[in-house]
Amino acid sequence: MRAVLPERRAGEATVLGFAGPLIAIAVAVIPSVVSGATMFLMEQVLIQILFATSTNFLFGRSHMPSFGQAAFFGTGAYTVALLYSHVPVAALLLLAMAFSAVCSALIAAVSVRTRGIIFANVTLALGQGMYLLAFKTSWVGGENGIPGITAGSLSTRGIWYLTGGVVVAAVAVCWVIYHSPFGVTLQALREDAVRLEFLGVRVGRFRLAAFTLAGAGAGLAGGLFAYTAGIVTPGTMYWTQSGYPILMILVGGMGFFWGPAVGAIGVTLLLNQLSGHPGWDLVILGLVLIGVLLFAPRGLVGLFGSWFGRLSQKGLGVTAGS
Amino acid sequence: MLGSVFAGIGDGFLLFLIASGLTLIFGVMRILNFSHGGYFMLGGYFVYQAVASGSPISLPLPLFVLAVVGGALAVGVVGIATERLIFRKIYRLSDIASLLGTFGLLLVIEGVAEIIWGVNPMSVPFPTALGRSIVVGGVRVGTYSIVLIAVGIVVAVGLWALLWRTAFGERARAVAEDRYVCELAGVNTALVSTSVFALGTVLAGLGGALATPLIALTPDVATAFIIEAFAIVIVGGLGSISGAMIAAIGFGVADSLAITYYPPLSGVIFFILMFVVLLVRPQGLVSNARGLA
Repeated sequence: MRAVLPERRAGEATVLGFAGPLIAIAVAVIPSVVSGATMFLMEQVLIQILFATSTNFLFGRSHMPSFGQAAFFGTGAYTVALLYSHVPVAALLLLAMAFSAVCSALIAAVSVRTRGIIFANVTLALGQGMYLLAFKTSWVGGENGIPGITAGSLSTRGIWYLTGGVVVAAVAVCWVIYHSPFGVTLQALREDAVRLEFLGVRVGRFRLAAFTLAGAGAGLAGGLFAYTAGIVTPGTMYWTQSGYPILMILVGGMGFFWGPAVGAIGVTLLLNQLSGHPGWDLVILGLVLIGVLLFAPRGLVGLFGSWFGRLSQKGLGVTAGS
Repeated sequence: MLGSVFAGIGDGFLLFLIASGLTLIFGVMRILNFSHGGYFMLGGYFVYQAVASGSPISLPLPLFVLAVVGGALAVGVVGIATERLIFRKIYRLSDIASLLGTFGLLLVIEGVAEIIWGVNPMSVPFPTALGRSIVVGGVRVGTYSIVLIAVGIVVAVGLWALLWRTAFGERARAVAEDRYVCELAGVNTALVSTSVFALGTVLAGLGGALATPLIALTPDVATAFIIEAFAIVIVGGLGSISGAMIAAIGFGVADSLAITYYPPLSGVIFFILMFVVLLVRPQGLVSNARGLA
């Protein structure tokens, strides 16, 4: 299963070798040059990049169209919200990730029996069930959620470094997994699950693992969200929130590792631009979604990928993947 | 106990109105339609708009009936327009892509409602004589529940007659079973699709219109009700109208009992039931591999 050609991989590694230090410098310098509001927006962009990239293990890789990822994002956020005064930041983020992974493994254990539209609906319903539980349970704040979350002694700038560091590290881990034999097997799962099963691959286990992995990424993103926003409400788990990472994946291009990240940047900035126009934000997002599906099914990266690829001699990874 | 069962049956028939259109559209177009919740919500706002100028306390019954019928038909017009403009292009996509396309349309409809009516909850009073409850055989029942049940039964019988006793129904069922062969045989499948879509959206609009006295009307109503409707059509079996009816009434009664006896379970019970049914019968209660049932 050699879906990624070695030379492409080497090219990507070279580009990452250049991009890595640049990103690190950018993360380090940004707090000195931008305002607090801009920094918050950029934190949300980073968090959405992680959320969308991990969700793409379900869409771009293994074809498990989950409509319940917001529930795992919310699980991570609530874990932080409930325990922030008892557990140190780093440990709590790991805990948020682990707890979301456990929740998603439990949900995967039953939902992986189904396929396609039914799978989408089972995950949708279970996620919405978790939203309702959060909404109705008074010890997690009920309808109002939990406000006043602090990240220990970390300043605003400290939270920015935390978010930047965690997201860059987590996306790097995603990149390794995406291109590992495991990730390539998921790709094969998307192409032809029956044949894979015939070849002796335990398809169910790979589905379970992919779903757990995506849930862990969502939980980590949610934990960071709780620290950056300082408040968690049940609204973060509402089912339409599960549509946003999917929208980002589609806008960026689900067949490419960097597609979801590109989509996350585009959609988050667009949403921010539209935030002063209630109603119009939904109209434009909806039209973008329909437009991408009809006219650019390979997403922005797919649209500009060939041009981009030629520019960097297939080095940016945008032509790798499916 | 019996009183809340009766109220649950009334709620169940209301859910049946939105679910029947959804399952009908799935049966014929093979598309699970998120935006169906949007048509439900529009039905509610059209009624609100029609009666908004009147007194906030009393609403004459004839005006309400007129607003409900007019609202449902107006939703059908919106349905035809969106089918022609957008849906026709979405059918060709894969099942997941088309599901996402309808999600996009749901966002658009919700956004338009937010632009026009805002996010503050609107309310429509019970029409005169229908906000009370009467005692029948020792059981206290709401008169509005009786209305919902009556409308639901009329719609169920009407749908059955339309699909199994008319030439249009025969065509719709044939397209549901094999669209390609129907096209070869000279059936105007595009017209059948548009008609079925119009019928489905009228039913959604009717549901939303009749729901107005019971709910706080916000654009969110679209996203809240579509999830329950999805649970119903999946539990009932995709494409099955009788399955949708059984599931809708079952869910309505279960939810009503939950509200009476253990409120934290209300709403959540939908997903618990769906979970249990899908574990036991993944294909739904009334299943038909292709076509309508």
